[in-house]
Amino acid sequence: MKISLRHKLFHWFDERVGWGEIAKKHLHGYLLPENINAWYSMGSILLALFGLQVLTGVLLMIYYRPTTEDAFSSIRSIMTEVPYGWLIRSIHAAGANVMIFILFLHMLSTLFMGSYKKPRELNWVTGCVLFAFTLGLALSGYLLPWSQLSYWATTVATNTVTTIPRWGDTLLLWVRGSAQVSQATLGRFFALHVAVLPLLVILFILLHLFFVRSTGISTPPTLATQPRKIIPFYPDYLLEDLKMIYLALALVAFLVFFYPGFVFPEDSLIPADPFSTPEHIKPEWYFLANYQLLRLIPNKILGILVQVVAGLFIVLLPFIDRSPERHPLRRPAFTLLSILALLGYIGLIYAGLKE
Amino acid sequence: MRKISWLAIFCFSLFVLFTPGWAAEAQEEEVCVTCHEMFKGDMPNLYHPVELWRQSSHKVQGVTCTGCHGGNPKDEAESMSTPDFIGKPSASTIPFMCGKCHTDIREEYLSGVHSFTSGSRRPTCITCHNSHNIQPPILENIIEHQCVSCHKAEEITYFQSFILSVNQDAEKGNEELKMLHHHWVDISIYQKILNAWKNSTRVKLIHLSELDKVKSETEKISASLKEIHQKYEIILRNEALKKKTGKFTIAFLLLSAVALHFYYREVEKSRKR
Repeated sequence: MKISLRHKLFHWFDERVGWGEIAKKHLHGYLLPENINAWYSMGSILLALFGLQVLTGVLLMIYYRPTTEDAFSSIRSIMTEVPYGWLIRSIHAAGANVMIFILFLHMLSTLFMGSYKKPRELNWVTGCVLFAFTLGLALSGYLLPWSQLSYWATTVATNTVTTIPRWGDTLLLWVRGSAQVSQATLGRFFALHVAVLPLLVILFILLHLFFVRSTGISTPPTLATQPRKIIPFYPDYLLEDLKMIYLALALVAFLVFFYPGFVFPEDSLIPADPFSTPEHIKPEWYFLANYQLLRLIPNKILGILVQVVAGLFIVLLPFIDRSPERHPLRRPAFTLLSILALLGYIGLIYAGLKE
Repeated sequence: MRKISWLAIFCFSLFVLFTPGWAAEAQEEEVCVTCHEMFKGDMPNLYHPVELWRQSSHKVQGVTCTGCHGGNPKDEAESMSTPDFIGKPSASTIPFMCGKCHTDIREEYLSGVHSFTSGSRRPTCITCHNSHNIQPPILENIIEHQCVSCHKAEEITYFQSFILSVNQDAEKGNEELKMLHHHWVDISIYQKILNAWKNSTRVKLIHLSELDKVKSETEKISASLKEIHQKYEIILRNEALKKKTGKFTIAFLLLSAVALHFYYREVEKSRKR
């Protein structure tokens, strides 16, 4: 019998790398519970979207120039002159929004299905860190076009550190690199956006996946008997993951082709002018709730403190809520409080959008 | 009693706070307007200017009698005795009276053919803008029956329609610019040209009053408008293509998701079997 070149190559590498065993362990041999649902594909969608962000980001870096003189004109040139530049940048901007939206859904499903509980505390903590890094990526990327929106949104966002007593001003200088948002700030944010944060995100994705594999994927909580683990990840569940990835990409495509104003509002079309403050500076939707809360609470320090405490509470939730019960209907108080908190959060975003 | 005195102080403060505005206006009107209003019945030609001024754009802009005629509006006895007072200007002084504020237009007028026309046929500012019921510089201010004494009627209509058509093109160009701006095109140069047209060039051209000069002056704006329109057309075509591509991409992704969904169900069934 003649063995094809492809098989020969596969066996040559398999003898040295052992990837047959790896594939068996992590793909065909990796079994998932029979009642697994679409909520469990959120992680895969996020991984695909992160890949898309890296790819489009690298392509944008070819033409982007990170100086205050050239940044906006290079963005304009990407949008009008570079072949398919508008598409790549629009995918990058819309992809970031969809990624954060899916990240919210991923965390909410984990919260309501109680998947953060023992033994998956570290999965939750690394997930929270990834969430913070993603918001950091969004914030640092926001300044790079050097538009009016970039400039003033970053001025407002970086100003919040001044509420920290005693070290506020020093910290502001450290974040911006100068008293005002300037070339020093742009350089810092560029380095954070294209190198530091992506590397940290990759590191934490690997950690997150490591914890997911070592503890095993959580089973959807059920009122009936424990489900059997019978669905192989490859090829069976990968089809379901692909389906969800395609739906997320359809959402990205919708924003890119039919709703570009959502990712590029009016103030993002005007080059930054430090001497002209726009009338209505509003942060992106994912920072709107925090922004509204700061406006609602008259004391700035208190406003920041409330958010820090809420954030810490969310990160440390697995260590605070130690009951083994995971089904949302069997822990009604927690479910009700979570729904109320979620409604409050959505309400704050809505109020911010309406203003 | 004490309460009443506090209330009185409060009311007086409010009175003081809101008085200066209307008091000054009343004072400005008191001398010129109140005197001229007295002629309402007997000498309507002395009262009429007040009535006309009240309907004018000068009234809206806060330009009062002294703005054009000079004089001292605060002193009834000396109101018409100051050196700058001009009661009824002659035709030759009107351009200088209006030109105190409208300096650019004065220069255009003085260099144009209208200022060299002699005698009663010489048109001045008030020929088109009226003497007291001053109206803003719009094309409709050109009064054909006053122009026909020198110009042919068809020439006037052509002049009006020419400026009007450039005007309309500029309005359209402005709308097209907004669209280009939303598609990241650098519109700053075009915006400057269009703003200049809207704020000064257009008015200057009307005062040039010679069609050949007007035509050569409008060439610049017409060239810019043509460029804007060409870019707009390209964007429109690209937008239509983008929308088509978008529909196709979304349809492909959704159909692929549906196909994967059914394929997964089949795989699930076969696994259960």
